[in-house]
Amino acid sequence: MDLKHFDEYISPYLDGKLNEEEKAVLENHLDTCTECMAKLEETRKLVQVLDSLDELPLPTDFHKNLTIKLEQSKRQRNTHWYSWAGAVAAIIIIFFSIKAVIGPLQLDKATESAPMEAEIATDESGEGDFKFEPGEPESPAAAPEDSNEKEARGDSEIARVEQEEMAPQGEWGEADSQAEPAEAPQDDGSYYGETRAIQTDVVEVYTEDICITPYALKLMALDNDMEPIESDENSVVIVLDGEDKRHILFEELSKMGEIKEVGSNNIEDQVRVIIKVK
Amino acid sequence: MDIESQLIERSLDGDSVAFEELVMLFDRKIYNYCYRMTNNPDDAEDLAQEVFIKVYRNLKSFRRDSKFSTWIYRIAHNICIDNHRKKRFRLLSINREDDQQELEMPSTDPLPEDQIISSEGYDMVLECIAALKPEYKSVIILRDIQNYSYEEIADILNKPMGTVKSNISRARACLRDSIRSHRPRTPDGRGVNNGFEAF
Repeated sequence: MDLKHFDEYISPYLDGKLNEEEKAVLENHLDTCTECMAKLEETRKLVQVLDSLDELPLPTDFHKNLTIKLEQSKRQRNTHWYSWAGAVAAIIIIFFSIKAVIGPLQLDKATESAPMEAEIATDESGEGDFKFEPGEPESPAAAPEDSNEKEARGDSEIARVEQEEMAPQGEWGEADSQAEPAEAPQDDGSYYGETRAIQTDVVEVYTEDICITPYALKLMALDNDMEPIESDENSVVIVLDGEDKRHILFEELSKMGEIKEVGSNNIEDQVRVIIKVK
Repeated sequence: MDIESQLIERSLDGDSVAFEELVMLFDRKIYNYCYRMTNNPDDAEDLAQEVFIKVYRNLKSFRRDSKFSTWIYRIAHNICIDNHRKKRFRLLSINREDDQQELEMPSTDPLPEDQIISSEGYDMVLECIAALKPEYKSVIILRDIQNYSYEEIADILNKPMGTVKSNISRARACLRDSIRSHRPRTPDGRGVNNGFEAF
């Protein structure tokens, strides 16, 4: 055994990580080798010195600066949400405006004022877009998601009021049923309406979340009764024994990011999931 | 439910005070980890804050089957490694002739003469840690400065136990050898033959 080999024993020896046999081999060697004995003592000293290093205090403004950055981060996310909400609100208003035009026309072809009102309504819906622009967030600091929801609902109210004014025949129930699904895009899980399944044997997941690691995929697989059989630095091979597992894997992966099937359609009972960081 | 889980639940419900309390459970440890990884207080502050922002954004995806401390350290580790890669890339693109060794090999320059003897040994150790390559640096910080177990380190770094064991062993050997070859001058002008004599 060369000295380099003994060197590898020194650190686990100090941490009590050698088995009895390895320990005996090293201790025997130390009796005769001053070089390795010196290395052992120095490593012991090093561990003591490192252990005695003081924990540094936080910089004075650490929390203050963190709060500022967190607020900025929330605002950025809201901006994204605002544009969604604006588009949704515009669609709702246009929908009701059209309904307002077509509805009265069908019911009462003699009514001439309806198209005029519809035009006004459409114009207003155009303005509605800007209500959600990033320039005018009301109070994103306190509870941003709540205030967004209120704002979005507020706009649905406007849509209802306009609709009521234009078609006062009492379509409240319908207005509600149209307004509800329009809010759906705020729910992360609802982008994939229908349940789909992994079709091929190689899948790429595009994600921005650095916590999605092969390890995370393994845990996900085990949680869902799937067997991860091998992994490397950016991928995991998972056994899929059944069609239902293909659905589950699809759902789990879509929560993590964007899925792209890149394998052949030759269905085998295992799939390689490759993590791609955006 | 322990306090940590309660704070996570409340943070997920939008309670910002709970999130602040959650931050305060880990802020010093994470800041110190980033500080030892970068050896630069400004970078450490930025990176530690980036860690908490990432935690805030991804709290929903935290899986209860792993420890929260492991998760937050894994985020910190990834952010520090990423920062190191960015810096190295910048350095390499500025001067292609510059061997990257310079960034990773311990400096053997003698310390300035006005160094105070009592802290001299520690400064030298910090300098040598800073010069380690990041894979070694992280295990030295986690194992020897912050006292995590081999199992916890394997979880944090997402590496097999065998790799963690050998990285700890090699990191210590590397650090030991670079301290050994350090020959700081003591204030009386006398040099030392082995860095360990400074203690």
